[in-house]
Formats: sequence, structure tokens, C-alpha cells
Amino acid sequence: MELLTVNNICKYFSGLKAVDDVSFNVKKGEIVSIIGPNGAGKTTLFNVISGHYTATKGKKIFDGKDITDLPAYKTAEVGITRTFQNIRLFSNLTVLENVMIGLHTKLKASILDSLLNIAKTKEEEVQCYDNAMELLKQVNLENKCMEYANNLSYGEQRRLEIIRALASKPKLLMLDEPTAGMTMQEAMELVQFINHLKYEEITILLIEHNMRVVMDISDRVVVLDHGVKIAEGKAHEIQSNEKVIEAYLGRRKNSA
Amino acid sequence: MTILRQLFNNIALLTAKNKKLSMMLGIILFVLFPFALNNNYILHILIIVGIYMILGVSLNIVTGITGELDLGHAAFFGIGAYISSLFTMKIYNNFWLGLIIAAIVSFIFGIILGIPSLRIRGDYLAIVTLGFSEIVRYVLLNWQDVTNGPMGINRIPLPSIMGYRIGTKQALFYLVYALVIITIILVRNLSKSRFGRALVAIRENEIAAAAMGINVGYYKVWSFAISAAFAGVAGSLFAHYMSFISPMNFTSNESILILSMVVLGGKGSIIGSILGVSVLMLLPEMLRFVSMYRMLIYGIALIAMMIFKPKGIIPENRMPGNYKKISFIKASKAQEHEV
Repeated sequence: MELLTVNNICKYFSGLKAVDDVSFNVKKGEIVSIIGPNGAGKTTLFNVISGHYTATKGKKIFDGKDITDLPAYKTAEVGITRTFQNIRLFSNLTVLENVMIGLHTKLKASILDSLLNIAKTKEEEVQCYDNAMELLKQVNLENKCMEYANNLSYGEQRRLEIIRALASKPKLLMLDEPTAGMTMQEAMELVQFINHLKYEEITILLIEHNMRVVMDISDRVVVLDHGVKIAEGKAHEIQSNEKVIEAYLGRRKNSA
Repeated sequence: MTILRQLFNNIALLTAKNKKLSMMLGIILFVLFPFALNNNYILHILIIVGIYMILGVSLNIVTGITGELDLGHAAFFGIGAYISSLFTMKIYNNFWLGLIIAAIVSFIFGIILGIPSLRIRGDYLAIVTLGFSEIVRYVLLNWQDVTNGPMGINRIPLPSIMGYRIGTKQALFYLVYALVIITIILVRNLSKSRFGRALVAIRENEIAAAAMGINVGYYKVWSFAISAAFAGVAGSLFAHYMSFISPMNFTSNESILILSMVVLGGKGSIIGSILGVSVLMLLPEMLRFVSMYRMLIYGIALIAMMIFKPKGIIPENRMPGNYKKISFIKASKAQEHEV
């Protein structure tokens, strides 16, 4: 059962083909990694999928619906949330409020309700607060809930960003280099956490440079180079794929 | 300042504990105040300060909470004043209806000014709002058949409640401050709600806000519109209180003054805006005894404030410690009792 299908997606920046004719799919409950050398177009592809960029050509189908033309906020509403390569937290807000903003699509209060703060809205706010605290416990940040987000350590900020993206219970979670800048131990803790998400029926698409993480958790790997998909398959298959080795290490000289 | 903050927190806690008592006390003080102070000059100043409090708190929605620089707030102030006075003088003499229509018309103009904010940001948007404010002023100046041009509108009727004219300064004081309190309550609700969180998310990071499912454009336009509606109410109050308005009351200088009040008080902080308005309105009055150096001291005070407290008199504090802790603990305890 395919959750996300990406068909012939292209993204051109006036002549520069950042993503060129990439197709792949993600099945429900899978963890799929996108790898590739720097500048391969991984993050651009992510931005296209999450609706932050509109595709030049191609189609995106999510859960049976065509989401090609949806803007970012609607893509989030249908159940795709993401984190960013260069962490984008609401840095002058508390950790708690960051997660409460993540719950935005789950709340119903209209603008008039908000202004008048009717009983129903108050109740919803209390629930939102409890809900956010519950989520923070999952990533061991409940003691830091009143801290400003920019006072957290790097690893904590990554965790906060992930839990903020998970708050709205997305069907597909997209992680852009979640272990970047982490120590090996922190990275492995994160891997455990991601693996645990699998049991909550959350499908994950991630960009990752840390090969150990990729090999550990991916069901499948998609390899990009210069905006083009050069390989796709199980992790161990990719390891021995010649095109992939060439993209990362360069071509072996044809010496006798 | 930390002592001051602790004091505020303690007062907040005390009032949360003895809600009824403190409300009663507040009401009694509020009712007695204008009588104890039977001085028309001071009451006049306080009424004008009250009107500017509505302006400051409402501009805070756009500039403080949503984080867009808005140099056109006086335009909505003017639109509200003119619409309300023209309505009561030419169509139907009812102050409250005029007030509501002023709010609605300003709201609509707020949407119109909000639309450019979908495409432009920051400095560029500030220029657009400045331009808008100038357009409004020139229309008021030149559309002589309706607005009476630079001569302004004279003999605007005083406010009335159910046929009773609100003529004395005391009564006007109550009217203005009742509306100030309503404005503060509504804006406070807004800032602590789902809507307010969406607005601060937009201020902090638009891209991340969109990724959280927040329709950035929609909320920006709403924040402009709501802010404008409150400014319209302030304009209506101003017109009916002063009974004379002219385009001179609604220049860009006014916008800049209101903006400096918000920034001085602390962007995003409602108490800050109220204090900012009070300081900037009362300081020139209090400095009258040094007549010649009045504006000089005023200017130096403003510069010194911005150097030593760049985040304002009372910086924004969205820490749940203040508001949320109290209300949430109370709410969750109430829930426990029910269970």
C-alpha cells in the first residue's frame, strides 16, 4: 500500500535542474532514506514534497489524493510534517509553546472563539497543554518545558523539532538530516526513537549523511546525484551499487 | 526590574487566589477615582491616554505579536473617527451604531492593507503602510464635499447611552476606560490562544509556521484587520469626545508616535504597551515645568530607554509562568474535582 507516490518530479531554478525527473514511492509503515553527495538535490526534493516549493513538473500523490498543487500549510493538514536541515524552531518561545504550535491543526478554536475565550476554548487549551506535556515526555524534555527554545543544547533542539513535527500525528514524517551535529551516542538514541515510531504506524522519509544510521534503520534507500535518481533498493544492495560508489568516491581509472 | 516583575507576579497570584475580592476592589477604585480627582485638566489627559491605550494595544497585535512593521495605524484611527462622526451627523444619530460601523469599516480597510503583507515583508511593508496612511490623509483633505477638507468636522455629537448624553468628563472617563478594559481583555485572550500562537509562530519563522499547518497569509490579514477594527473604535471615541476632528489629527506622525509607544513599552507585551502609552503621553505633560527643555528631555529619555532597555519597559513574556501556570493549574484542579 503506497502512502506517498512521487512521479517525475522536476524542480528547475531558471536553468539549474535541482531535481530532475525523480520518481519513487513510500509504502505505509516504511522508513525510506534519501542519500546523495552534497548538492544532489535532496533538500530541494524535500521542499517540493512538503509544499514549500512548487514542482516545475511532475505529480505527488499522498494517501490516494493528488497533493501536487497544495501549499505547505495544506500539505501539513493532510498529514505530512517535517523538520529542517538548519533547525527552524520558534526560538524566542518556550519549548512548551513550540509543541503547542505543532498541535495547531488538531485544535478547532476559530478566531472569534480565541478572542472571546469561550468555555469550550479554555477546555481545548488545557487539553492542548496536557497533550504537549505528554509529547515532551516522549523525548525527555518535560523538565525543560519552560525554557526558551534557543537555550536548549543542539541535540535537544533536534529532538524538540522532531516532537513538534510529530505533535499533529502525521501519517508521514520527513526528517532532514536529523542526526547532523550529534555525537554517535545521541544519534543512536535517536535511531531507537525513530524505530519506536514505526510501531505507532508513522511512515518516515529521511535525508541522512550518517551511513551507520542509514544502514541501521532504512527499509529502502533512494540515492540522488546531481538532481537525478541513480539508484534505489535495500540498504545492503545500495552499498555495493557501482553507480553509488562512483557518485560518492569518483570513477576508478581504467588502468590495465 | 526583577523586583518589579516579582511584584507583578505576586499581585497576579494574589488576584488569582482572591478573584472576587480583587475584582471588587478594582471596581471600587475605578468608580471612585474620577470623583476623588475632580480636575478637568487631568481627566482630559487621562481620557486621551485611554484612547491611545486602545491604539497602542491594537497596534501591538500587528507589530508586537505578528511582527510586521506597521506605520499606518493613524489611518485606521482617522477612518474610524470620520466614519463614526459622518454616520451620526448625516445618517442616524446613535453613538453606539456609529462606533460599531466605524469598527467594521476600519476592519475592511485593515483587510485591504493586510493583503500586500502576503507578498512583501519588513521594511517594504512598512513603506506600503506609510503610503496607505498618506493616501487616507489626502482623501480626507481633498474630498471636501464629504469630509469638509482641511476645515475638519465640527460639532460632532457627544456619546450617549439609551438617550442619556454622556457629557461630563467623569462619565466620558468611564466610557473610555470601559472600552480600554474590553480591548485589553480581548487582545490578551487573542495573544494566549491558538490564533495568537499562530501569529507568534509567523513572527518567529514563517517557513516553520507553514510546515506546522498555519496559513500564514490568512492569519496575517486577520491580524491587520482586527488591529484596524480596534483603531476604528479608538477613532470613534476620539471624534465624539473632542467633537472636532480634522486631517491634522491623523498624520503619519501619529502613526510613528503610536509605534514608538509600542516599541518603548515592549513589543508583544500588552502591559508594556499600556505603560509605553502612559509614559509617552504623560511625560510631556509632567515636564511642563521645565517648559523650554521639555521636548529635549523627552527625546533624551526616549533614546536612553532604547539604549538601556532595548526590549522595552516590560519585555514580552510568553512564559506560561505568568498567565498559563495560574489558569492551567486552576483549570486542571477544577477538572480533578469534577472527576
